[in-house]
Amino acid sequence: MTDRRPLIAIVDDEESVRVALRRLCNAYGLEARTFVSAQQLFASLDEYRPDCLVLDAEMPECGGLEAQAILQERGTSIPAVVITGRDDDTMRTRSLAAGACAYLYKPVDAEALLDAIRRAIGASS
Amino acid sequence: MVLLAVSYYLAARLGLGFRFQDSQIGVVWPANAVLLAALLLTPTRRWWVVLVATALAHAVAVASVTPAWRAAWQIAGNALFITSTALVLRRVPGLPLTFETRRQVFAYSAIAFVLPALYAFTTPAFVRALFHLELAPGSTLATTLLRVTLSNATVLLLVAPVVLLWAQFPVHRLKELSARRLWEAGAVVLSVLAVGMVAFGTGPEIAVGVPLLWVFPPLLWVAVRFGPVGASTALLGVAALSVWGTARQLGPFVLMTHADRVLSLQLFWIVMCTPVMLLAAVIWERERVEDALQAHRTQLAHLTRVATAGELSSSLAHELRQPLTAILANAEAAQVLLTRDGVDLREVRAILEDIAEQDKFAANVIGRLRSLLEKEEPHFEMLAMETTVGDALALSRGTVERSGVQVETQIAPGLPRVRGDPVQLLQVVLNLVVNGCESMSATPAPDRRLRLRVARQDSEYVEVLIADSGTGLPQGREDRVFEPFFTTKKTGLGLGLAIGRSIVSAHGGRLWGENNLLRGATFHLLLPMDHANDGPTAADRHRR
Repeated sequence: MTDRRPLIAIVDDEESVRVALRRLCNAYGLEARTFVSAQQLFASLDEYRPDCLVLDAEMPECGGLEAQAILQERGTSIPAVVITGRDDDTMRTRSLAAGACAYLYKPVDAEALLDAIRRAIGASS
Repeated sequence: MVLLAVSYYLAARLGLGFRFQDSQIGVVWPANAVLLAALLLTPTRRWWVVLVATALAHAVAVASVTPAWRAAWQIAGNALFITSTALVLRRVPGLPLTFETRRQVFAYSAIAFVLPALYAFTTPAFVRALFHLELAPGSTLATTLLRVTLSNATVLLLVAPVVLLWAQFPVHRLKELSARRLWEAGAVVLSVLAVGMVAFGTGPEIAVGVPLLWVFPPLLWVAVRFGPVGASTALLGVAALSVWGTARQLGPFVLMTHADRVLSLQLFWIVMCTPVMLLAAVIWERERVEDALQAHRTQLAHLTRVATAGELSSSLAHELRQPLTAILANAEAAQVLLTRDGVDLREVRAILEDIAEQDKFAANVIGRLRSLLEKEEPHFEMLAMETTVGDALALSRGTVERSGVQVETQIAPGLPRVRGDPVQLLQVVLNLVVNGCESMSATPAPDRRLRLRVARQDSEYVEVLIADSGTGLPQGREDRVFEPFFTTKKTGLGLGLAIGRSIVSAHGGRLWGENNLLRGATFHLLLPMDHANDGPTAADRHRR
């Protein structure tokens, strides 16, 4: 890891969740930026390179799993923590198989989320 | 028992006033109705107390007009007659005697004719007539038997039901009567009095014939609207008016000889009683059946709501997890911020505001779910269908999102209110929304659109239109989806649309579906406007 604050991209279609997770990450010394959709994230990747993604598993048009697949297709390797509001073991298995570093259920505990982010960043560095 | 003895005494004194001229036979002996009611309402092991109390009351009441030996005979004869009648009534029509079923009225009427006829053979009047002792002028053995039989049958048919029903009537229920019902009762009483005055209180040449029939419309009104209690009371009232008029040499019965007059009065009462009581019982039975059907319909509607809530449970859990995630993350962020020097109070305030907002959002989700699961009697109030549509969309948001469906909502401005049960109408709209989403599972994702429109339809109805682009309805048999247990889904009871249609019908509206020209189906929900109220809607209970 470098001395700069780690950059975290939070992608969730639910504004209240985006804002709250950004505050949490910022409070713990992470530099968080939020995206309303995976497409918005993809569009920003040319000028912005996050150290870790926090992806909502269910979003309209492109969910967390699809976003991982698209990033892999593009050859972009960013560690991802997937969060979900549904109890879906199949989705969990598929996300982890697709390279997600962690699969967490909402409501996400701060300690668990930050631990997953740190592990994801640590594993990729 | 003191109350019983006093009641019996008063009834006996009243009965002494109603006697055939030159005869010991009473026109009607209401004391027997008091004794019968007391026996039927008392356990058999306590009957001896009832019999002793009424025997003493009888002896005192008739002491001044009847020799002791005759009084003793009357007491023994009445006790035998009424006790045997009570025993038969306990076994045949069953207890409690409420006159609320045809079976009870038929059985009671038959017993009220047969037992008095048999008892007539044991009376002192019959024995005297048999041996030609103290026979009233013009009387024969047959007329004596007829008089005694009709006298006792009149008591059983006319007086006993009133005493029995009022003795069992929960008086506190009178306080629960609505003002409208009380006004109606007052109007009934007045109409009975009015026709009674015309029929029995005018000169005999006027009252004979048609005016006598005028007593039936108010009696039928009472039977239809006030059940056996009202019917039996009104019958007694008409009988009392007929006695009042006849005693004043008015009404149609005074045109006959005295003996015929009394027999005609008794026959008139008896002929009135059974049909009116029977009508009251038939209406009562029918209303109970309708009540039971309504209760079953309500239970079934609740069951389908529970089933719908079950189908939505994972979506609703998702709905709750979003605000809970926001609340937890915000709270944990605030905890960290508050440990720092130079706390950013603006940020903390913003966090607290968001926490409060998300908490309210979660409470609304729970409130909507609770209202859906509540098992309540239908509760009609003035409501806005756009609110119902909004609530249905809020409840089904998770399902809509998971189905990848885009929802378009069009709400016409200035919509009038409808009168309905908010939970039941929510159930109908929610069911249509969920069905629409599920029908589009095979539709390509970009084409999954659910269109909801709330608008006026003519000047009488508010229409909720729900159009999907799914599989559509069975071609040529579109209405089959409203048949109970018809389903095209792998899960579900197949009752949602059937219940939905019965709910809408109960609201005076219509629910039907039709296939779209290109793809999918459109459901139309029409509800009558509430013209009586154009004010603001009642606040939705779950939004409190």
